[in-house]
Amino acid sequence: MACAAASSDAELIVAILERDDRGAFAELVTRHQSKVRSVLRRLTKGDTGLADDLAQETFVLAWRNLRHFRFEARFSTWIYRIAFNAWQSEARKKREVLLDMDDDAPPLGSEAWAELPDIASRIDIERAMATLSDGERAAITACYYADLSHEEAALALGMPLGTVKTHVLRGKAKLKARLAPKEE
Amino acid sequence: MNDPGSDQLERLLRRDAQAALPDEGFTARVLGALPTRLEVTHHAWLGPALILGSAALGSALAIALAPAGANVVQGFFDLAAFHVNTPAAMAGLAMTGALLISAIVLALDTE
Repeated sequence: MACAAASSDAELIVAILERDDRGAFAELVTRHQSKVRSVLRRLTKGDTGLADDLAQETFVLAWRNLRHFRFEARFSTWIYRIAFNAWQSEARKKREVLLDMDDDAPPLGSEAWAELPDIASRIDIERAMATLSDGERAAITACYYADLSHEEAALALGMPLGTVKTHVLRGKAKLKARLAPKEE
Repeated sequence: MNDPGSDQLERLLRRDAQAALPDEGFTARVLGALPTRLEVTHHAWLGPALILGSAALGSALAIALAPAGANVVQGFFDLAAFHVNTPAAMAGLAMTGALLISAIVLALDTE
């Protein structure tokens, strides 16, 4: 749909709400699927099957609840919030997700880390991300992969702003330590 | 203020986040899993209607099965006077309980 492709997210949502326009919703999914699936892949520690199932669930929930969308927010922010909730619900089925977990992070401010290599493979990042706590991984994913501000991330994850900032700092410290070249 | 390692990590994360995933039929699968709008509308009012209907039925049964002479209005007067052991008070309590449970279920139903 050339028309849909040229429309803004808000225009597409209006078309869906007014005319039940599935073509418009398809355009929305096409636009946002890559980011949403990437975010969920990072959250699920690289489990692509689970991530895609959750992404599908996310978009179906978005379709069901689109009439509750508030146009003052970005659609992407809203869809990430649904995705984070879907991930948290799924994780709770297996175990408790501890988004506020305060664990043994390496001390901040240490200058002992070697510089990171210019090129780290995606697998390295994926493995390093998997070592983070749930809260750290969620905060890093929200701020970098979903491109949310700290405030938006706090809203999407349902955690205090200060906790988001702490998780991002600690998560990055851990990632640096993990991705730094090993000394012989 | 920023050390080189931090800058590199920022770049690394941003670059990884920018990597686009091909659709590979994902959008088609989502569209195939969508309920019809009619179904969504149908479900939107059917749930509360079922809950309230059940509550009304439960209340009616509570009144109908209460011992002879039990009057719900009288029951509330009895309850107000702390006479909770009278048949009328029991019927009033049962009805209030049914409605309260329904209200809680509706309040917790956040889709």
